[in-house]
Amino acid sequence: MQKHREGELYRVIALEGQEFAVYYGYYEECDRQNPLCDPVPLYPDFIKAPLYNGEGYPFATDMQDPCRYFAGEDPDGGCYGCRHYRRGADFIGLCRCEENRRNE
Amino acid sequence: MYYAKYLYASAYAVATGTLQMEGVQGLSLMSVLPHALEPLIAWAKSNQTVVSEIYLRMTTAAVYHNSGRDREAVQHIDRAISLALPDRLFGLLAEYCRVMGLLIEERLCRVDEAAWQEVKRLHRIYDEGWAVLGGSVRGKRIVTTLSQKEREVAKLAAFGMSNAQIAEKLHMSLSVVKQAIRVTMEKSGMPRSEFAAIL
Repeated sequence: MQKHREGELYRVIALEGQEFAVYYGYYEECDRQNPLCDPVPLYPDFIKAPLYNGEGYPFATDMQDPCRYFAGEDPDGGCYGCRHYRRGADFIGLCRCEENRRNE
Repeated sequence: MYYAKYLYASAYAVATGTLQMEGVQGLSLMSVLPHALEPLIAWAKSNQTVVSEIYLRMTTAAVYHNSGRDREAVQHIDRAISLALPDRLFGLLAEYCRVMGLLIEERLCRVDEAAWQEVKRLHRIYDEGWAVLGGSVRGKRIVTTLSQKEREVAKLAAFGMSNAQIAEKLHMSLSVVKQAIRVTMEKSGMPRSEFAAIL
């Protein structure tokens, strides 16, 4: 397996007119200390910093903690398992739930 | 002799659906196989080894079928059926249902529909066995593409542990665990509930 350095660019993910530059790194200090953990692609945290597309639907990641409107069988699996979630590119997608849509 | 064995092994693997022949290499091998198998059929026929002839004819038929030459395939299937029916050697036909089920059904039902029901029953049993074996073989291939972290996380997920429990057990962040699960799903093409099959 190829090892990557912290700070190295993983890829730029283009979706719905936005570009997300994803870099390798560690989510938490415990991962840095853990010999099993190499730097991983750090996907945006759309819960901390919400972002919406042109129609007002929020971006989300496959692994993101699902919201209270989760419609699926396994919430532990993240937004990926919700029927409102639309996979976009890589592990970034869009939540098409009307309850989460931002009205402008 | 080694090349002949390789050709027969390839043909059998294609015939039973455990090997996909694709691309230029696949096309060239598929065009050679029937010519290699026909003399073997002649040998089996002259030596009156019925089981060998059935296997060889069904393997040849599968190769023809994979190449889109069903007319030649049917000729071999019909002959194999005529050899198999008297001694009810249905298992030999059932092995090939994975890749030629429709053809076998069509040809066998013309002759003996009860025999087809028996072949279908045996094929179902074989298929369940292949699913276990195939999953195990495929699982071994998938496991080599997983990092050690992904294998450890997947192992605990297969045991039914939640993401939070896995994170605590392996001293990792929850984000890393969730990402590892997602990557494993992507690499294996399997949902979390079936991780046990790949480990």
